[in-house]
Amino acid sequence: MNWQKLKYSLLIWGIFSAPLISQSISGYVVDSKSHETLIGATIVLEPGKKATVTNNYGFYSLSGIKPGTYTLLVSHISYVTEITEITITKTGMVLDAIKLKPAPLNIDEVSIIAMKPDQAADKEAEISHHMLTPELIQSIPTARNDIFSAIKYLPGVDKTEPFSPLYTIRGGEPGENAVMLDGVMIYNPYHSSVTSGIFNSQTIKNVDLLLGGFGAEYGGRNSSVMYITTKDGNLNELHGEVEPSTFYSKMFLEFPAGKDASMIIAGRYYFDLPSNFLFNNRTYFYDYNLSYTKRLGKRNRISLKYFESRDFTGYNFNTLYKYLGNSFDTDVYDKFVLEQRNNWKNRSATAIHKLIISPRIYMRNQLYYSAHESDNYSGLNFSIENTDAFDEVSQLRWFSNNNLQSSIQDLGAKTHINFKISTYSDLKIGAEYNSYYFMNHIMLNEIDNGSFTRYPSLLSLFAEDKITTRFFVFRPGIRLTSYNNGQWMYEPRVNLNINLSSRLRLKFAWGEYLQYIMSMNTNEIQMFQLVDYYYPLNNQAPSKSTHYVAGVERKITPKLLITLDAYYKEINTTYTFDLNQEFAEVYSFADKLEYGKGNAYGAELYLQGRFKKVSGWIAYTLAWATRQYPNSSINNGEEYPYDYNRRHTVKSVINYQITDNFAFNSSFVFLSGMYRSIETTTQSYYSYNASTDELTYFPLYTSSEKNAAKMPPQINADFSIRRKLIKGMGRKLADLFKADDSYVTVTIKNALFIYRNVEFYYPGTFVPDYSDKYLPFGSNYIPAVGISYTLKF
Amino acid sequence: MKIILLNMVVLVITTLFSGCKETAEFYLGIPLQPDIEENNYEPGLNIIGVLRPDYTDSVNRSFIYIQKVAPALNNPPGFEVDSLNIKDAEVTILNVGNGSETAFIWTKSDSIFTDTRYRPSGEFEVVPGNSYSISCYSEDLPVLTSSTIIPNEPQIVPESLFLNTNAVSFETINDTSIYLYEVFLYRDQTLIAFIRQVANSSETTRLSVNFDGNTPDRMEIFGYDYNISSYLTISNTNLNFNKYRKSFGNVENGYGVFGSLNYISVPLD
Repeated sequence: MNWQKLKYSLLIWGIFSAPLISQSISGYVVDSKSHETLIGATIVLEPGKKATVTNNYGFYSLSGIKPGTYTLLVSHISYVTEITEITITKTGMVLDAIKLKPAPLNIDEVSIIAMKPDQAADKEAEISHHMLTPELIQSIPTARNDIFSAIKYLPGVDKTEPFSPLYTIRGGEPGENAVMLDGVMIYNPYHSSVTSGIFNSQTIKNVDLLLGGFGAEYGGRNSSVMYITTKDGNLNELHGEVEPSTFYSKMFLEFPAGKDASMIIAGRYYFDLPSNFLFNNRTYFYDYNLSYTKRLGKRNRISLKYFESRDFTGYNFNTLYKYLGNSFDTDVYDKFVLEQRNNWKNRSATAIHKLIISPRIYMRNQLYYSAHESDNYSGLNFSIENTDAFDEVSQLRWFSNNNLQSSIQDLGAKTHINFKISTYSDLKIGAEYNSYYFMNHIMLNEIDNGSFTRYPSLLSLFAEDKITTRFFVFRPGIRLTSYNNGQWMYEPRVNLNINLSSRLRLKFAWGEYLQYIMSMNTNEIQMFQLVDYYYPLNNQAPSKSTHYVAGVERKITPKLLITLDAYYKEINTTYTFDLNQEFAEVYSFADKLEYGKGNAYGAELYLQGRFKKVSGWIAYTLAWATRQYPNSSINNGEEYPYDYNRRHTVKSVINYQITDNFAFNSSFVFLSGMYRSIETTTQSYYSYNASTDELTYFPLYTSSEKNAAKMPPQINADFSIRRKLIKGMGRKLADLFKADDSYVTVTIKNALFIYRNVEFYYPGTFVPDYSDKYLPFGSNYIPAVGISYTLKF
Repeated sequence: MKIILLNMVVLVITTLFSGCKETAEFYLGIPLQPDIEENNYEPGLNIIGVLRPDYTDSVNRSFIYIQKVAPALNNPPGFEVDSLNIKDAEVTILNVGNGSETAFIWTKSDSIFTDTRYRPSGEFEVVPGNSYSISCYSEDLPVLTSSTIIPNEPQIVPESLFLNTNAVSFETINDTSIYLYEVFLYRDQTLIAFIRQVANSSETTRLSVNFDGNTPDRMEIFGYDYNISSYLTISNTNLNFNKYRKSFGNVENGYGVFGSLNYISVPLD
């Protein structure tokens, strides 16, 4: 038997081996006040100790139950355990939604960790899975309630460049990360102005981040999956949160909207007031969410959700230069134009239908539309006359600009069915169809580098079976894809968790991942790559990665968990755009696409949980990653250290709940330096105007080898104190607005201010006294203190 | 638990402050310099040489401008932008077709040309379709060489020229000696619009130049050879830091460009 046959045999065995048995119960678990579905609630049936956990939609199903009377215990970390007596009939049952009452605040139970360690063993077959909640995100002092800032404190996740919101996971490309909002793929979910995500954390119920070895349900991206679940809204009464501010305001309201229906309206608005004063620029963003959910009996739920965000960033530094010129009495800035303009728009709309067909069968259907548009321009035009010692005059001029435009539309439909075949077997099958539109247009230095418009399609099918026994969880799966009506490609995936004891288990995952929509790497022609410019492959083989992950998980105490994951990611096929190629080498835009390969491997040690009043995590990562584009001019076709790889990282997020109303939060990162191409040669680039016969030049810096230097490590420590106001002005204001609670938060950023985090180097060639040094430029030289006031309804 | 936490704290502190000297130094902001594994700096001349068939006051307008490259760091004291200029190079242009050689010499600005470059030392003729090569030597630097084929004059497809209130459009006849076009629009000797466009390799090239306000009275169309076209379309000249940026150029044993152009001037009245 060859390997391919073996893989299919394993899958078929996994799906059909478990015996069919009779009765099942199923239903939703919800918050008793808001009727919001609860993810990760544990359901235990006594006697027999049959147990399960609610999925991402708050749904559970238990099978293999003989008719009779049972006690149902439903628990969740933030809720009072509900104990109900039920009688199982011969036909199985769909139960009414089980309502859990929020637990009163207990100092010993307060934790920023979303998942109780003792639930983790049963909850998922996934390895390298992190779960974030709004409370956790809020507890990170500098995360600014932003998911994309928060995840960078997790092991295996890193920022790409300073000032860029893009992130990289385990040596993968930023464009290989799937970001899904309620199941809708979101393209470039970032704000340009403050390098944050476009998702308002007030609307978020839960964030699941899968760093590798994920199951067959997810596809289209090779590196990771971020699945964001938003709230459905409060079914009983108006609740909300308002945070007004001078230049950053946000609002969140949830309320009942008719019988068994709820709505959410939320939005944020930011205006960059300082830059408006300093640079006379107009920079802003806004985003808003609308959500409507209707419950039709206990079996049907329909949700309609709409999301939109808009960014405009315009920095023209001329006003600042005029200040500088006047201040330093120089005309050097008179002919200096440095301009940056970003114009972005995101929209997504979806209709979701969730249906409990029978106690054993759960179905979810979804229609969606997701769109992104961006138009990014940056330009520099600088000229100055230079007179040498012999009175010879020459013109120094640096002129360059780039304009990258991108438009994406993704119209999709998908469905999946969860089928509880037996006590041991949960089968999930699904299908998805996407119809895309992509447009990219690039102008570089006044030259049209071409544009393209494509309308590809993707049909995907998947099946996976989670086989759960007392000793192991085994989940074989397969994903089949047909791109542009082409041949079917398959992506087999397997997860295996072995319980060695009640406190110790081993985890393994293997999977193949294909990606047809890749992202152009433009960071060598843009100072910062702020968005992914997606490019649909046309006649090339899909980008492919193979993940091998092995981990061990040990419960130190019931509430403290330590995990060690080792991974090896074979990047079998990848692509990049060698935009440095002159037109004479390649005429067509698509011909700049270069085939490559690489690998990424490492280990992540992660201690998370709660110890008395302290909760949070400490993580250490050791990682390597390489790339090679053998037939390109990139590093002359030789292998080089991957751009976004850091050998060592230490990260921690700690929450210390001092009293019921008073919490201390801290975050700390130590990041060893990334590999960069530090410039080693000074070479003038000439410009020639043939019409006027004017010759100008400007000394620039070049590097003949890619990523041959290592940046210094970076260290950051931030603190915050959050206090619930129970008296005084703050509380009175809350009473005035009839708010439930009010909070004041004091944040101290960059507490280790004497440490200078270097972001860039610039050769000091022509700078007196620095001609033998690189000039370091960085951020976070000065600590910053911020205070915010929050009303919670 | 306390022991684990204590051990982790000790481990972090040890790593930061004593286990790694560089880290400790960096914490205090002392060296602040990158760790470069390999410095592949290679010395050489850096030129721009343009051969063109036109004249100013009977002197051919072809020229060479020569600098050298320098290491990014560790240059001698007083090193300035001017220090890159090379004024004593031996520059020879060879007409490959007839074997005639012309020396280009350092020529200061005068009544004919307003800036200082290497210019022909005597009579010099540039003929479209002919091949020319350059040899350039200075100090102990490698002898830089390159060659170019002079492009033909750009030709407009008959009846393809249109001028309206805000644009001039036309097509150029397919010419394999031209790789890039530049079009300049003038009104009363003042430049009012400009475009740069890659030539189609297998068919006519359609060019369209938009302008605001005054209607142009003259148009200049330049066609460039492969070398200059390649050099002018280098994209990686942006303001950037520590990104992979290869050296600019397509000459041998050095840096920069040696190429040629041809042009026509078209009245638009």
